[in-house]
Amino acid sequence: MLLIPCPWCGPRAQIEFTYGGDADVRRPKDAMAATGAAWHDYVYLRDNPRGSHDEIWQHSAGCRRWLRLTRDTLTHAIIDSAPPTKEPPS
Amino acid sequence: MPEALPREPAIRPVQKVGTASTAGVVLTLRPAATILRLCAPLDHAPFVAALAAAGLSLPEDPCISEQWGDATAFWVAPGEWWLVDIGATLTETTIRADLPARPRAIVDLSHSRTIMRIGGSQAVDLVAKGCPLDLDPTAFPTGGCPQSVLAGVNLLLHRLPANAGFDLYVPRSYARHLWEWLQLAGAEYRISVAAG
Repeated sequence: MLLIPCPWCGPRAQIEFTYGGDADVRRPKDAMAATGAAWHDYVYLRDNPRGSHDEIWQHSAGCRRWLRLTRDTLTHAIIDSAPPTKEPPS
Repeated sequence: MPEALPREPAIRPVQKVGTASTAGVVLTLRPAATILRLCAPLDHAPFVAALAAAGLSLPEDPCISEQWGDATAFWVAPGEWWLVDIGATLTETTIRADLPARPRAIVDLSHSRTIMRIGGSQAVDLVAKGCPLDLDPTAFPTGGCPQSVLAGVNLLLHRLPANAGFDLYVPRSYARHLWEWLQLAGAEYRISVAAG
């Protein structure tokens, strides 16, 4: 069980949150031109890092806002919790 | 606006009297309240100012409520509040008229929630059985209104002044489940069910 710091509500139990996946997966920009391999990569393939990992979570049972969480997958330590950036990184 | 339908209670509790003096937990089904959800997520400063001009100061700190007489404003999310029982001060019509041009949403949630009050000396123990919140007064002070989970139900908890316990704002269709859970989980504290 993680204790996740919501940027607004403060530390809350993991059961209040919904996992939204890897924060840095990007949809292919030109959907028509993207190759099957690029789509396969976007839809199915994820890194599985040992250590720091950027993730998005939703405080679904609380303020219902999305947040960006940096978490150590080895120690389960929470490194950073912040509101999502306004613009997706290019 | 369409004509409002009369509010029917989601459950009809069976009153348990005669044990209140020894009961550690007193459950009460509260009368239906008017709940308006105000939402201005992009820029809520003008919204807060306009309501302040009307005499209603909205709480800016997370998970804290503001009380004006019988009416309460709950912070529920950034740029989002619930106004509960503001009828005497301000109606939905006047709020809509006062704040016409700004990007915001006003939704009447009155029919969607059932309000239950948990009082008594062991109210905190009962809530702690099914809720992951830190219930210590330093983390969850009087007037606090965090949303969380109780017995698997997403709800809003409002801590009442003078150690009077909590008001639970329960999604209506979960009311029966939660009411029964409260009685089962609270049996060890001796429960009294008071008239609403």
